[in-house]
Amino acid sequence: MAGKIIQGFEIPKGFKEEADVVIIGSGAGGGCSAAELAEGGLNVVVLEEGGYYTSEQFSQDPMTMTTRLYRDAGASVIMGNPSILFSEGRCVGGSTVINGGMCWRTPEKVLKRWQWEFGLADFTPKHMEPYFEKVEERIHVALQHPDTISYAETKFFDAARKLGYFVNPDRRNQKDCCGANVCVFGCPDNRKQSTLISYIPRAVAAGARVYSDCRVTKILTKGDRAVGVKGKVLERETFRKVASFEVKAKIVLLAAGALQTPSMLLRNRLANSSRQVGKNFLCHPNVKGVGIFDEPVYYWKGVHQGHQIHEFIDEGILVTLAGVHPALLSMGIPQYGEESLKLMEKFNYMAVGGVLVDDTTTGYVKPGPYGTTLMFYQLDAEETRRLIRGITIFAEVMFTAGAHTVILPFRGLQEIHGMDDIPKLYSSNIKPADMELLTVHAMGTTRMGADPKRFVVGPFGETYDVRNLFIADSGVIPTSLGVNPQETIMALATRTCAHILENRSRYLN
Amino acid sequence: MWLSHRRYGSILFVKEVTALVKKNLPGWARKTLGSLIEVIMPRSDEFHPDLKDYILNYVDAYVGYFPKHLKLAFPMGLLLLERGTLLFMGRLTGFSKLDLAERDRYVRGWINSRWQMRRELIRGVKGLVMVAFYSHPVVMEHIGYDIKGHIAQAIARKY
Repeated sequence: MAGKIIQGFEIPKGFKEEADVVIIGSGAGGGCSAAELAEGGLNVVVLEEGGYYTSEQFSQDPMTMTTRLYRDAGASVIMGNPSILFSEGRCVGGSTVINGGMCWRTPEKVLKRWQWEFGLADFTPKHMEPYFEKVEERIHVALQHPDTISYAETKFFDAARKLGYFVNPDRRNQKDCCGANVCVFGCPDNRKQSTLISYIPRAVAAGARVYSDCRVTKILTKGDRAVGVKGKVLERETFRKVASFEVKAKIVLLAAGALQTPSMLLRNRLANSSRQVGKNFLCHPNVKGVGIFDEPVYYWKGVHQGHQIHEFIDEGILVTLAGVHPALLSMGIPQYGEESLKLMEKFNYMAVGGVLVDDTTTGYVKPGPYGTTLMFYQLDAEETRRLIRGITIFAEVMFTAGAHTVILPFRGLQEIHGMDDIPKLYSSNIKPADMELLTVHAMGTTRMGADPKRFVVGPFGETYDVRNLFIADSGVIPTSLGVNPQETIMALATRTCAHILENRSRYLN
Repeated sequence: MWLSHRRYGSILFVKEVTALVKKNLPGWARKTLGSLIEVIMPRSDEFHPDLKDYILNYVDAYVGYFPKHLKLAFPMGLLLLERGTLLFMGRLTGFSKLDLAERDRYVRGWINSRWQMRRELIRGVKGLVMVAFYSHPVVMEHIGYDIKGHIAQAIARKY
């Protein structure tokens, strides 16, 4: 039987469904799980809080697209000093619809840490290999065609190589990506293989029913076992409740992301005997930098991200270029008024980059008023040092590439004009509160491990406290990855689904 | 140089944005916000399109998508900005009645404040003003960002 995608306005009041598995969320974890389980022969229902949009409805207008595809229209804030601007997807396909599509396997040193610190003995590169391979085949992970790399990216790559740095071409989930560079507003030509394009159609073809505009509020349990969910159907523009629903299922699989999943568990007072739900929040803090050249470099005329400098991964620092809309760029730098326009008039002479650092501290997540989720994260001294060092490397690469100025994301020191100015980054006494931070990665809030006293889920994603309640999103990732988490989330979800299918008689009876 | 929306063929775009506005903010908050936008809005002697109302409506519409706690906190922040002139400047005149140079000085005080809440309010409004301004067709054309042309060219390319 073929499944279908049912939008909120098509759902009758008080509708009820029954399934083998109900999946909450349709992003990297949920979309992937839906296809794996439906193709494995299970009766699957997917519930997505956001709306269903196809590439015909994507545009390049930030307001239109952020209000359609992003939670809180992209204005979520992680509280701390400084606060961190956070963005995640809320639509069928989740954050995979709006991310840059970077795909990296979990680094071996990270897997080793999971084995030693978290008792996840199976998580060797050899054991994980088939899961990564399967994901890469499903979402078509490939290198970019050279013609889709912008001139700015070429300069960045050449400069990094000249400095002797190890720089990797990006592996992305794309088929014939043409470098349109509007990934963050949804790929207009379906070339980025988000779950909307890859896993969800497979799931639907295998019989899964995907309901959009459905927010789960209650996880139903019977004894120590999850038996379904209840929630409300939302009116898409206002998010007001227009109907309620109930789905009974033998397995409940949470894949709402590292913020919404723990919030849901805490509201339902479930799976928290370890008292770790919502804790260990990791977010890969990011800052932006801008190199300005004497000639036009058109960083936006090419793929969103073409290369990453991996030379400093062991120091917990990742440096890259990232093409973004001028509106999004101007948000992340301190200039305003006349200074802003003076700077942005050189837009085509700019190369915009980013620095991502490994977390060395953790924050926490908890339910807020009116159904919201509150996130807290305080940058520590080591992360501050890494961010400054990362921007130093970025500036060095930009000056080597020929930039005459580098714009910095720091309140007290907004630009430098050559290699000789780089020491100012250290002598200016930059404090965390002086930084303009942002992130799109959230992890660790329902982390996986072998000890029920310290961790929320076991090695296959099942919660220790509630049987048949699984988690398959970035919340289960136990430690900071240092690279984009999309492929790790999908590989872990694939592994969880393989376990469910191998043990279906236990879980379904 | 004053640029009309009609001259640049963007009247439909502006109408679309304006149509989104359901006036999430009360009148007094819009007045304070408008005065703040005048300070933050990018401009130069050569290029200062009349986009204040468009940006005001854009930000007001955006507030409707905020999570509820921020939706409630935002007007309170604007109230503090309006009345904070007494506390932070020793002036009885509200923020929106100050002249542009004074408002600019006052806003700089907020940006460099030791009190995080003051910094964050300006940072939040600044972010929204920048999104509104730099996504307007007139401004994108001015800075040379022709994304539609680029997409059409990129999609047509064969590999």
